[in-house]
Amino acid sequence: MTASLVKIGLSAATTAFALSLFAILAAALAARGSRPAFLVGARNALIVNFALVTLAAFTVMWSFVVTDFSVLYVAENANSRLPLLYRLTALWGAHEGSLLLWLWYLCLFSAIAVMIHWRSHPLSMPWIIATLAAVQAGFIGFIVFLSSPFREIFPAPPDGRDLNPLLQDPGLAFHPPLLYMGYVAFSVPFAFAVAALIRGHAGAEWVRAVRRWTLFAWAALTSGIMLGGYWAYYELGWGGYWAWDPVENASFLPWLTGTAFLHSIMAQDRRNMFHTWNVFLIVTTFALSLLGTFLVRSGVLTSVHSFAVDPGRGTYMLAFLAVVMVAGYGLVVWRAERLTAATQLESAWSREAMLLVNNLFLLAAAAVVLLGTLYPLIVEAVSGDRVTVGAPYFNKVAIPMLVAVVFLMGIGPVVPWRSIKARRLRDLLRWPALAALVALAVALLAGVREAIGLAAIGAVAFTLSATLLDFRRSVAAHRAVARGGWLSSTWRVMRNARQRYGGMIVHLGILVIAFGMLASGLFQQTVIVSLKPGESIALGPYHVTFRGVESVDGPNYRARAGRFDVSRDGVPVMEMRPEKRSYQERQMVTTEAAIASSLMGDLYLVLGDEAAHGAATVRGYWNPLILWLWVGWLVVLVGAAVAGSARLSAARTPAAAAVAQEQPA
Amino acid sequence: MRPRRILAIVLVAALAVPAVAVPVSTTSVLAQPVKQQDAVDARVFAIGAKLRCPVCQSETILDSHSSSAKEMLRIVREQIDAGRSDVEIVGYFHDRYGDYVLMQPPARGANHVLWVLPLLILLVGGLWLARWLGRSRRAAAAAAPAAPAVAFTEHDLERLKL
Amino acid sequence: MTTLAQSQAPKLRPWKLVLGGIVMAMLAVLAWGLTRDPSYIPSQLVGRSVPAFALPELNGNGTVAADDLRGTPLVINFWASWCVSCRAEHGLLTGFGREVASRDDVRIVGINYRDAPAAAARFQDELGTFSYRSGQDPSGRTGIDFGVYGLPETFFIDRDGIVMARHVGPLTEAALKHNLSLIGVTR
Repeated sequence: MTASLVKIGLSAATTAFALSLFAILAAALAARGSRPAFLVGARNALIVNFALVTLAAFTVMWSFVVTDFSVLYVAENANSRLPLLYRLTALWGAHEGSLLLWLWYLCLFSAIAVMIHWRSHPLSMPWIIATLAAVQAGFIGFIVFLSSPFREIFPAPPDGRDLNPLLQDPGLAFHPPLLYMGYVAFSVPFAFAVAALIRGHAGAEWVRAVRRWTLFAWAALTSGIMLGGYWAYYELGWGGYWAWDPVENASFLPWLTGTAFLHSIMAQDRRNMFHTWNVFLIVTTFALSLLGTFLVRSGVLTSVHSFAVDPGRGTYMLAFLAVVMVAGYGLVVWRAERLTAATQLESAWSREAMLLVNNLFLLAAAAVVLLGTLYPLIVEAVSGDRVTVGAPYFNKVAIPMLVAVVFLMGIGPVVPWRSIKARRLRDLLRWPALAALVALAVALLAGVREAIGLAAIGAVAFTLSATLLDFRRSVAAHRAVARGGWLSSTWRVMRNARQRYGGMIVHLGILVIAFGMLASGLFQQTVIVSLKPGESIALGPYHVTFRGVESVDGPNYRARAGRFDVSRDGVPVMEMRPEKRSYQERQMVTTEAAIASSLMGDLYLVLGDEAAHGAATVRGYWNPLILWLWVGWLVVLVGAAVAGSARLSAARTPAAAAVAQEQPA
Repeated sequence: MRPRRILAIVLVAALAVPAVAVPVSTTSVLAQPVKQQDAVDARVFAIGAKLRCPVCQSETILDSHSSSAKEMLRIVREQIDAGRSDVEIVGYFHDRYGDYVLMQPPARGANHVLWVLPLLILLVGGLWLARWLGRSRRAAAAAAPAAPAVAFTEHDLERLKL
Repeated sequence: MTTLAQSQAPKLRPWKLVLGGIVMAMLAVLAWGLTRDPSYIPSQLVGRSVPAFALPELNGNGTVAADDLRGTPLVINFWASWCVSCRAEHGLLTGFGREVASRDDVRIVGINYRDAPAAAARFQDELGTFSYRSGQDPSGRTGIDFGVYGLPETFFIDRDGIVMARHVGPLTEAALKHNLSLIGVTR
């Protein structure tokens, strides 16, 4: 019954492949001959593709729901005892399904983009459609010919091999979908960038559309990264959330360049500057999104197990990446002169210049992360040696650059466009500088001695006070005129300048995240001890007493659970039960840390090996204020939503609205 | 109190939180003996974080839960107990697994690129930026020689908007 | 200021060359990387003396010790019952073991790595018994001395006790022949 279902899925995907090829051709013909019928056909093909790929994805998902093991992908990634939630999330639990999810997002965003921008971007539309269709063709082709989740096996095995136990976690239900959403949503700005480069025109409407899409993609990517960190934190059991491993770095790269773009696009919006630079950043961000997918999925940097068998896959993905990069950067190089800015910079002390300095540090950080990630490959290619570039390197080189970015976050927003007098700037930054000094003194008293930790504390205090003072000045200025209350003035100010204050809220969120990182990084307590039942350890404000280990069984695993009584100031507060699970089907052991979270800090316990007489090795961590990382993430999301709801300056004035009408190429 | 001062106090308080949160409650009233981390543990952590687990995917032997990593950590502890220095212990593993086992490449030969290139990027980027700024400002001055000084910036106007 | 027409013609500028160079170099490195196994670690032992070891024998009371194996070219194979790839080379190894038993110019020993004797016995019952001795390395310490990271690994040591080659992954007929020639043994 259901075996025929994936056949339908495969047919749908194959049809979508043909339609994407048709869309490229039709859109290109429409661009050359301005024939509207072709363009409508191309647009409709993209919309139909979304339906087809949705159907294709559904057939695989349904095969998981009914545990149809005649579908190879289901047999390899599910098991009859696997709970329904994980059977659903197993869709993106391995290679083929992950790429199908990628494709589904691509088709979704393509369909949305062509529908909402159809009227406002008539002249760019052929190129936007052609680009999106080309990216679609690349991915569908890969899925249909090389990495098919629709393959069947005969005879069907009686049971499946189960999902990778590390992925059997509620966090995984959201982390990859959000990360992919971020990666893929950058394809729409990329399509707009290609159109702008070909037409040699990037006007106010272009800025408006691209900024919104990028903001959305950036928020999704941020969420994906933050949830990935949370998943690593509570599933991998080493007390941290970020290890600078190649997979994490791959997701951080487009984040850095996307962040740079969101800043420099403001200069194009307000001052009609940096056109070439902005399209370069979009092309780079999308290329790095693809590079991230490539690095994770091709087995270049990390050994991938079962799915690395087909060398054709890596070759195809690299070829696709090469086409996108050569086409994207080729257009940038070829058409750069067409997009030359109309305005010139007036002062080094202006918002424009600050944005460029911000971009310099963000891009330098991205370059460092890319260099460190690829360096082992470069060394091996040149000398045959194997080296590792890990956390100690990135902490020493990339972190100082990010601290500089945090510091600039305090200066940039208070510097106005065009220019500012040095004296005025000094007045604006006097209090933040004092706050930074006070924070430094407090940190020194608290025993912080690392230079980079101190610099980061200073930068966070500086920027936090600068941001809050900026809010206060704006509200006070509003009150001076409108004579409203503090609250209503705050509301009015925020509502009137949503782009600016959305951005400032994002900055506050980033500062909260930085605060949590600093506190948990500088003041973490760790112990590895062998405990006999009845023995205790002290961690943070808690007193943890080991009571012994017992067996617990789950649906598809057996576990040993440690029992720990936790008290605070002599008062029992809770029991914690970290587990060591042994998943039968994959014969894998996972550690399930027990975590007691609060805004003050997390108590984090991991059960290690058991020894004679009921003793066990225990790893304990006290991570102060670590929860603030994810609180900060929520603040970032609120800020991004506020900023995304803003109409841009270009659309506000009648004069700008006239410019906003697309000029013929 | 002026809001500015309130802000300063809030800020100091916020930053003091980790300092207050950290000290361990040593005045525990519980009778059980408390097992404490000692200097050896601190060294095990420091060394463990520098070594890569050879059988894992880019994890340190401290972070990995694989049995190989645990055995290596045990060796680290034994060698500390035997009085070896940190350099000797790291050298022990480096001797067997080469540069691969070090989480940070040793600073020699071509590896200097890792440290020099980031500085070079900042330097060249900064110089290029400065040059571009200078050129752009001259062009702006030439284009609008009589540009009036802006009393209210766009930014200030945005704030005053009702 | 340049006029519009002038400014629109593509020009060759330094940044374009740098950008193009970086993109091409990155793609080249990635293409090269596709041909590599990222988990591969080159051996530090080749060209050096074989590490000392003295391990209890797997099926008896004796000891498998490096000192007793000096003077003759030696093959050391790390294996375990949990190692899937070890199954692929098992037939070749048992055959080679029988051959070695009748020769006096080469010897072979196994090291049963991170395994339990009972599981190792079951493995041999299922696939065939080694005709040579294996030492037990349950903690993997000897493996660490050899720089072992992924089973199976086979070391080829010449008559002076110098490690001449290491093979990672299941041995093949050709690999065995080639590596034996490096320690002066013809097959």
